[in-house]
Amino acid sequence: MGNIELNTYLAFGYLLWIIGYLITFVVIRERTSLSRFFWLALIVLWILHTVSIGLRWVESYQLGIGHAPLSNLYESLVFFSWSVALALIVVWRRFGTDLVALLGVPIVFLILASTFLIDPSIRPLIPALQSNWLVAHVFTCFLGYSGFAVSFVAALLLLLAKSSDKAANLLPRKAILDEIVYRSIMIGFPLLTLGIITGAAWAEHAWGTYWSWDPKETWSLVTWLVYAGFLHARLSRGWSGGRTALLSVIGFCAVMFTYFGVNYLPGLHSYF
Amino acid sequence: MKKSKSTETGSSESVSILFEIKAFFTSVRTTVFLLFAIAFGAILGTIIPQGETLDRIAISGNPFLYRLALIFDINNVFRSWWFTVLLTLLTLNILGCLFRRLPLIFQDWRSRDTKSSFTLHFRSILGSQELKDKLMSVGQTIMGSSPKVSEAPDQTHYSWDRQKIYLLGFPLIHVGIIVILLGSMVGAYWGFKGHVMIAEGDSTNKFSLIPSNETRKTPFTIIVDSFKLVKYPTGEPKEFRSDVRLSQNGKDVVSGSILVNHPLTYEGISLFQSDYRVVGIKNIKLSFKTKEGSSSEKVFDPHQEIDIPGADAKLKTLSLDPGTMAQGTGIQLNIIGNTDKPKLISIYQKDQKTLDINGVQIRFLGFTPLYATGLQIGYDPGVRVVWLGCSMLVFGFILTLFTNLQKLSIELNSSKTGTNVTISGRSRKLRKEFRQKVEGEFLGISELEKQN
Repeated sequence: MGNIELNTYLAFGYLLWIIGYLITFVVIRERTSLSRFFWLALIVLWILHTVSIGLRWVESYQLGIGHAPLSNLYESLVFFSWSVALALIVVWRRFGTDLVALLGVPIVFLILASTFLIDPSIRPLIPALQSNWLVAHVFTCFLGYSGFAVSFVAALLLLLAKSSDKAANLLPRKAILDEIVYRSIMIGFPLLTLGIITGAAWAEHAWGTYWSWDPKETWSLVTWLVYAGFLHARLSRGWSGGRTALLSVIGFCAVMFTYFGVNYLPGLHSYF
Repeated sequence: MKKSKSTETGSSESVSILFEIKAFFTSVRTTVFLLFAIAFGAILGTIIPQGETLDRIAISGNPFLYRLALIFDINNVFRSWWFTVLLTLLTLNILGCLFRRLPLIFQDWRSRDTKSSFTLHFRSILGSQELKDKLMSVGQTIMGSSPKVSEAPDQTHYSWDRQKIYLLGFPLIHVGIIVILLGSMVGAYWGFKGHVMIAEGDSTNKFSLIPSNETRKTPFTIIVDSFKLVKYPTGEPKEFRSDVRLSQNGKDVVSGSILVNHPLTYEGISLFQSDYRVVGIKNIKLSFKTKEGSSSEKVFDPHQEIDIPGADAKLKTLSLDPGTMAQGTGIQLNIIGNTDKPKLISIYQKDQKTLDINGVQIRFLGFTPLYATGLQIGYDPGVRVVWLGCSMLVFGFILTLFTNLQKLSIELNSSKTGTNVTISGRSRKLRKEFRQKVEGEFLGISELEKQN
């Protein structure tokens, strides 16, 4: 089985996982043992996801155009969904909040399913992408994005819990959600910073300018500024709860625009 | 903001203004405001087309846009006065916050016990050395080092701290950002960026500045020996390579290849592969087949006049059309027969029919293009400063994420009835966990009785 086929099965695997867990959640109130089953199922899915990325890497070498599978929109989407799944697993393990995963895995599914719409073939690297900085840049950026994605999910749940007491009873405690919103950004922000720096180093190497205000660069800075604002508001101004949750949602919108929206504007990042 | 209560208006007013200015530059509220303001400005810079000249906006017939462009440089947001002001204010604000925080950080570094995040009170009837030893050894297990001890009559004080280096994270991150901003300023004032197009075999020491288009000179001459374009079998470009030499006073000082992601640097000036263009033809390849069936191929340069084998005629290339027609690349040939008048004929690479001249079939097999390579020329003395700032930033993040400052202090006050023990601790991260650990360890000591 090739990696493209495997990715298709994976997308459906995540979908089944969501449907299964939703049904369990609605039908059975007591869900401790089943929760354990879904926890293991998610880990298996994620391991297969890892295998799929490795497989694509191997396949690219078999084609004689070997490179890390982080070089175009298709590959970045697969990697992005992989890192969001990883972040969800980490948060589930750390905070015991299966609901964050239940709301987060649909994001993983949507990202992975969106690859059905684009060309999945393995292409050779064009000259601009032939750099080791590519791997470091894409890797750090998307790991950072996955932190922001988890923060976004927790922020939505927190805003929901704040809006109705009925919902609040079903959701994890507000204090825990608030903690997830903050901690995920605390991890994502340094990774985004590293992503921007490696990107700048690469641009300096390839084009002789570490910063040229191209739309993608500018939007990554906007994202960085929003999350920097979040951290300062939280750490020094004592903001928490609803207000920081809102900032987290705004920040993730900026992430999404940086990733997808900017592609329609001309710039140096036209291959992603 | 506090207003001075004094009735003497003159000096106190100025004092209060100074106070407000100081408060503005040392407040995190300002930082948050500036971060969002800069984000907003940056978004404007991606929505409004940048780099349009004022003249073009003027003739576009939108006077409002023209006025905005004139006053706020919205056609050039990232170089506008207000964006620079915002960045400068941010720099000053970060400096202000640093100066406010540094004494506190220094204090925290020097002293082992400052403010604590939790305090536990115990009483013990023991007043002996045994209790001291026990408490000290428990503290040592938690903190993993021996304490600083200060003793006075009836009072003993043990204190520990761990990973003080955590305290450097905050200043490193913020100084790092200032250093990056300074580095970018150095680049903006003393650096330059330019572009030059050089055909294969040519040389120059002139280039045009970006974006002003002014002509400048490099302290060396750039000689381009060749440009190669390599493609993958799929047709995508694989490699753009310019083989160049740099010469000074007629002598070659450096030679090498410039590829994308592989610049050539000499005397701080870097040359980057940027683009290329076909500017002419190096040679043309034609095949000839006579009526008798003998075929031959000829490679010749475009200015050459050659004999057509087997026909009593000559040909010469007039022009090349690099592939705008469906038939692919084409050339225009001038056929010079001995008897006829010269004839103009176009021939394309993908032609189905071959060209027939006096019974000789001619096909256009291909040509070797003459390239000009586009090199970007960059000089930026601020780059090292920027990388220094980035390193500080990354190192600061590593400290903040992977280290944690923890402090623990135990104070014993002896009296005739027994000993009062006060244990206080502080952890910059994982506070709850640290507190639980400390409580767990000390509550397990049977000689201690917890007080509220």
